[in-house]
Amino acid sequence: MNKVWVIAKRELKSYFVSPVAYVVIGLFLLISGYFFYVILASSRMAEARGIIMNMSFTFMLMSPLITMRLLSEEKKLGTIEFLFTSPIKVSEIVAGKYLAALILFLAMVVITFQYPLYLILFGKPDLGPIFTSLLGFFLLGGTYLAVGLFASSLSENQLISAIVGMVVLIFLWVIGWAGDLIGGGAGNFISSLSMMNNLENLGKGVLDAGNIFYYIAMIFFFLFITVKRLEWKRW
Amino acid sequence: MIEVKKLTKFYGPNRAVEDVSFTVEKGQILGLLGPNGAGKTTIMRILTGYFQPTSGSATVAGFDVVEETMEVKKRIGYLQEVLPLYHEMVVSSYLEFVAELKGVPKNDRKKQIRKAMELTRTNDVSNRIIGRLSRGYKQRVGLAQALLNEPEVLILDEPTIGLDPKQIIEIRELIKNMAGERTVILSSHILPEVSMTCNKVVIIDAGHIVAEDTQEGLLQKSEGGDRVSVKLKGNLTGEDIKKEFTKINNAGIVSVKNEGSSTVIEVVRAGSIDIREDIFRTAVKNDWVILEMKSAALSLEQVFLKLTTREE
Repeated sequence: MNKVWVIAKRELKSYFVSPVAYVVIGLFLLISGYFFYVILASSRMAEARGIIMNMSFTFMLMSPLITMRLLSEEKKLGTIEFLFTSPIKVSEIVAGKYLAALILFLAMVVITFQYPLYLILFGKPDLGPIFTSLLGFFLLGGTYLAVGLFASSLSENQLISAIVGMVVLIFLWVIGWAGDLIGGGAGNFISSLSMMNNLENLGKGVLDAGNIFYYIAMIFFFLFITVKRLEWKRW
Repeated sequence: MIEVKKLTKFYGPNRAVEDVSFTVEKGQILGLLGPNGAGKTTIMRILTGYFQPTSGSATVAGFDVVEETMEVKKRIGYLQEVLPLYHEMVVSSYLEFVAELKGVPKNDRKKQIRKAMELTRTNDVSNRIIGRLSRGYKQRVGLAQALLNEPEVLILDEPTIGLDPKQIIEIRELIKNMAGERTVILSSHILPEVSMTCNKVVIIDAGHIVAEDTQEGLLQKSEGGDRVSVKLKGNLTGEDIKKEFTKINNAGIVSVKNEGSSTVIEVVRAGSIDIREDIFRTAVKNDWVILEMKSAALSLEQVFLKLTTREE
């Protein structure tokens, strides 16, 4: 656990050395602020459902920018060999990298807490759905980052990592449509894999253990195959 | 300290290393010598636990590199060929990161980092960004990194590649200073490198060991060893001289050549005993005047070429 933090700490520092973190956070807040204002002004309803869906989609396209360099850069610089010959497990390296991206994302989510705050100050919102929405957004974002980290383990080219990450995410976002088309048991199963469908309940304020389990399982699955991918490459 | 037994590594169908065995005693500096692509890096990567061998085994400091990889990793300092540096970091915080990663106890960290920086003479760049350092300084930061956590074994892959001659000499000195009690393996495709720093040499070509010995041993083994050339006054006739010099103990092939008003004789030493005294006495006995006598050692370079060049 100690070593995980060593990796995460270095990664966080280097996020803020390059402009990537500032640009991603800044642009995301700009867009989500725009969504918040426009949706609120047109609907005149103190709720978060519309904005959460839009924020989720926006962040889906932006998250690979956060994760693309995590492993690709190590591969390109050759520092991955240094990590692999240091007394640290591959799983600890992956966990550390993921933790760094997650902390960066958490900082973003905390800043977006201002939106419910405005609602509370100027209206009487139903707080339940708002907080389950934010929880959903955090879990969903965590899944994005795990997928992005896996994509980053595939190539030493950051651009390719970002594109692969984006494509996998878009596919997981809309996989539910195929489920609707197929129908029956298989269709239900495919629908249950959709990131969008799992967010809907949380957006409504329904705290379903199944939805939460879905995200956590997805995160663990992608971190697991990232570890396997890194180990497999060397044999 | 390091024991390699019948190590073989295939990358798919391609053989990188085959049936390599050698040992390194504690405190020795072993030079792994070979042309590019001979398999030096592969051997080092197996020893550091980065690669698994296809077959065979290796132990470092008594631990198996496959079964007890973590224990091995705790005891080695490794400088890979592509320097393991994060370019955006400052030197001191990079070393701090490496120390933490290697599990140096917190209250020992500052001391060890200072020691490593002193030894590699990187103190004056401790606050500089790594990416902006010169190649020579980057190399030294890489060496400093390898020293953290006081490893028993240092594994240095091409430690002087890409440096200018002055820096090469400095790094060479550094490696000698770093060695001390430690066991060192270094690889190189440059000969003076190995001949100046190492006390044992393993020459590899196309994945096989072609020679393994001390430096002196290698020189002797290569046919002929040293040769002594003597210049005598006067244009003397060949046959007599040749016969006289061949009588000397340990003398090998003798060749005689007339050069203007002098005669040049080359005597190849067969054994390890110095033959110059005998040559002198032979000349005196026959009343020949020696104008010049020099002994030319066959350089490691010639040995290397002889061993790694095959007739097609």
